[in-house]
Amino acid sequence: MANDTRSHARPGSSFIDPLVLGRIDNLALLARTVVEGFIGGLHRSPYRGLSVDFAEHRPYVLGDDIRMIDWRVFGRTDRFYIKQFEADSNANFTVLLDVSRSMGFAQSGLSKLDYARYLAACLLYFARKQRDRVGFLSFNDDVVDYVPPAAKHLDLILHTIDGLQPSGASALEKPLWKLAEAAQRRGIMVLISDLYEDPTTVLESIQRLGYKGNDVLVFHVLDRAEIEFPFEESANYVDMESGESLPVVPDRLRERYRELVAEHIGALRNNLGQRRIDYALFDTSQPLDHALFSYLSMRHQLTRTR
Amino acid sequence: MGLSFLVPAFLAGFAAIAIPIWVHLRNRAKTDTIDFPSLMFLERVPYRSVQRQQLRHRLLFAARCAAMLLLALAFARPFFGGVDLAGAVSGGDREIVILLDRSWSMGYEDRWERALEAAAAEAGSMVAGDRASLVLFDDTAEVATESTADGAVLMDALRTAELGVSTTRIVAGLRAASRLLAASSLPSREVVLISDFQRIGWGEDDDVDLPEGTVMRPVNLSDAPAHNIGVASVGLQRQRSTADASNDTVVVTARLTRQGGETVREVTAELRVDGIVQQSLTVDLPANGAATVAFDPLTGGAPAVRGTVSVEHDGLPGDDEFHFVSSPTQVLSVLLVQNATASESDSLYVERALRVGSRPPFSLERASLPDLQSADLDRHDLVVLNDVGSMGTELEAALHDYVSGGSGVLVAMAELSSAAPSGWLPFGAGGEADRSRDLGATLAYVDSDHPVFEVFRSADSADLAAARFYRYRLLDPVPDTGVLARYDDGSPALVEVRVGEGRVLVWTSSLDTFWTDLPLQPVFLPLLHEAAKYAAGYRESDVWLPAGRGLSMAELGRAAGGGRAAESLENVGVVSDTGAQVERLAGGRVRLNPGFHSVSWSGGDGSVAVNLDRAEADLAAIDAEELAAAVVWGAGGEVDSNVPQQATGAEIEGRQSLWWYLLVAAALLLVAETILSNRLSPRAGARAGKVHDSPVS
Repeated sequence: MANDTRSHARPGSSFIDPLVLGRIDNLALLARTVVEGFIGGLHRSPYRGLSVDFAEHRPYVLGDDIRMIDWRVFGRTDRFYIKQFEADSNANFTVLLDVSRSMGFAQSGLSKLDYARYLAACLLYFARKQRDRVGFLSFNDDVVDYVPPAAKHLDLILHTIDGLQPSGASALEKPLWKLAEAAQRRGIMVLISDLYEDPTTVLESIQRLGYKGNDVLVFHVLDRAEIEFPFEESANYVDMESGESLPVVPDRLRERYRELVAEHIGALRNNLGQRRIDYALFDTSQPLDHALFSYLSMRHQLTRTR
Repeated sequence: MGLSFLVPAFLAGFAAIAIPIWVHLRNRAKTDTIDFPSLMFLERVPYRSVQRQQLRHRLLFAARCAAMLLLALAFARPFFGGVDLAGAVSGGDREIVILLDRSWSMGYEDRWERALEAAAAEAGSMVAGDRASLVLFDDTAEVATESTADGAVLMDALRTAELGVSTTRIVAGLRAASRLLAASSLPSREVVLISDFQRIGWGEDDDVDLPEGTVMRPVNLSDAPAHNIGVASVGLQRQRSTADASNDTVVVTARLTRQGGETVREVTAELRVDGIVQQSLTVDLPANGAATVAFDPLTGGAPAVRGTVSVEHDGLPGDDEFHFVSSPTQVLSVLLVQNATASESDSLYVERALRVGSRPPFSLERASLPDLQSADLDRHDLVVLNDVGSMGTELEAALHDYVSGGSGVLVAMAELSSAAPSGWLPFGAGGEADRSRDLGATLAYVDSDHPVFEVFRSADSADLAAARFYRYRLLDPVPDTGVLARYDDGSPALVEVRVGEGRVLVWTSSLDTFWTDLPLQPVFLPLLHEAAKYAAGYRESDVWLPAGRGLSMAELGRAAGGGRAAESLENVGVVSDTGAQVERLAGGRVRLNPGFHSVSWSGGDGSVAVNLDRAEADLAAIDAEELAAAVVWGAGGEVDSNVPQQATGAEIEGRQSLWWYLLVAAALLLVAETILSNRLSPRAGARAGKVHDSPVS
């Protein structure tokens, strides 16, 4: 997918699969119709704002700004109606992308980092379509690239994403702390990582962002091999981040490994859920649009129940 | 039953185990390396997984090593030998000499096959460190394989070994074994003597010195009792026709022998001449006895005929046929010369004696000295100068030339041979010795080894000393060489003089009864015949020649009817009638196989018949243990009676079939190794995980 689209003129545009965008676009239209658009589904805006997109008319009530009265309607009906427009949220939508070496793991052809790139690009694209200010942060155990949120930074961000390479070891605490310190305005922050850290550490790191009033979403990206551990060959398994090796007989520990991974995912899901932080697990073997669709469906359901 | 190896050299293939070791060590560092995002969960797995991983690699390694070892073992041809403890008993590595009797008597029934199997069993009994040689012997010994530790070399030599055509002479093989053992530095020495141990194979004077401590292991293949019927000999009795030599007849007689404990009735003997059956006779053969059959006379004139007397084939086929060649009767032409003054009675005894000769018959012509011409000499094989006296210079020169050309002269010096030096002999006639007063002289010395006196050598022959010599001629000067007989006073009685290629016999007394009574003695006739034949260079044609013995060109030419000319032959062409290759030996000698052979030389050709030596047909055996004990007694050795049990070919093959199982096991291991290796290979790994530089080793 990536190779098919990297020849496009605009950097980063290769990450946006037209098919993915087509399906996601429909879903976004649905969300926007219901609430405030795709990103609006993520941060429900209770406000009608100034916008160029007409929303509806409603009768004038005391206290309404008389500048909002639609005088043409008054001329035809001799009644006061207030003209309402779709409000621009103007929120900061920031993607936090883990670029540590472990994200370079690829078992099914598409590395986690590539998958995360596509995912980030899609999200940023939609955010920008919703007129959010888009920002981007790549990190390993520290900040690698940071593009502050801005309305016109999409191209820059896509270009930055296009040039990312896996490097370093992963550690959430420091880069997220730096981001929390730097962010002056609350917004939506989407963390995309394989989260090879203790769930408690992950939660503590993410919570710093939440304390600033940010709405945090955690996209946990894993390869299927990391979940199911299908290896059969006895081999020395080398940690891609630390370089440590360990001789392993997969047959003997596969079940235990799966249990440990399931426990880890469960712990993340529970811990983050208790803090009202959305968590979604993405398997790189699944189609990207399917993953987004599933997540947005889940997000929509969560929105209704909240 | 211990494990031995036919080809222990292949055990060096064990070194191939270094290959998997090297591969495993070399690739160990990059073995099965898979990049994985995090070991966070894997590190929580119990440590035993590491040990398991090593175990699985060890299995692969073990499979490869085992396959290598099995392949090397299979090619080394392991088998379970019968004397595997021999080395341990004798206290170390052994130098083994396998003596294999290949005399033609080993063709009796299945002796040769059993002998080969016994030799193969001995070769197969070698253990690591042993060395062995193979010696084939009959009347001579041939080292087929020098000392080797490779059993396959011995087996190859055994596969090419063939039955010989000579007689058994055990001492020849033992002497070869002694030389081989003496050259060895191994602590233990063994001789394995595989033979039928014929009595004729060991002579009373045979002796051999084996190295100290040699162990003798006889393998006796003789069967008691042996049963055999064969043609022991064939005789040709010539009957001369007085009218025409071409009408001479030959009576063929054959002596048949029976070895065994019961009488065999109606044994058929068949005579074939030039391939055509002439006559068949039946005869009863008593137990361990013999019988003679006489066939109807054959025409004995020219040309030579090839005959074969045969009986039905039995356990020992080598003596079931006897070949012979009957050549035309050869007549010895004699010119009897006497002095002109002599009377006919002076040569009466000589003439009568020569005329009764039959082997060979003599053709006699008389001549007087004054009438003798030089040309008369060349028409005769022998000239008898019966007291001719002085011959004159010209005739003496002619005689000299005649003798130098290879002819013979018998000179009798008696009364008329006056004392005068000879012009063509190294001595002349001297004075007379008169012994009439003391009842005459006697022959006190004769050279019994000389062909002239050979017939008188046996104890029951006529007594040469019975003759009385009242007078005899002394020689001047007295010769000190060539004297074949002397009177009792030491004076020469018969002297041989070599002149060129010919011979001159000088008799110093008369050939009539005037000076001696020798012509009245029984010895006169044979003595005169033998002297005449020897002087003329006559050799009776051999009706057959022995097989397996080196034959000179002269023997071949003589047997083929070359007569006196055969003595000087140097190049004779020999072609076997069966097309078999004629074996050429050093010194221009040839060794022939039984059958008929065509012989040709410059100026003539003929045929010879070759038969196996009938002495070998005597299958009577001696005690093998006794013989072995006698051989090693002087060397302080011992006799090992625990001869390996003679295995059949199937048993030997069965013992050696272990290598098949090893090969199959190796193949299975390699298949398992392939499967296991493929499962652990990078490709397989790639199906399950990302593998970098991780060839399975």
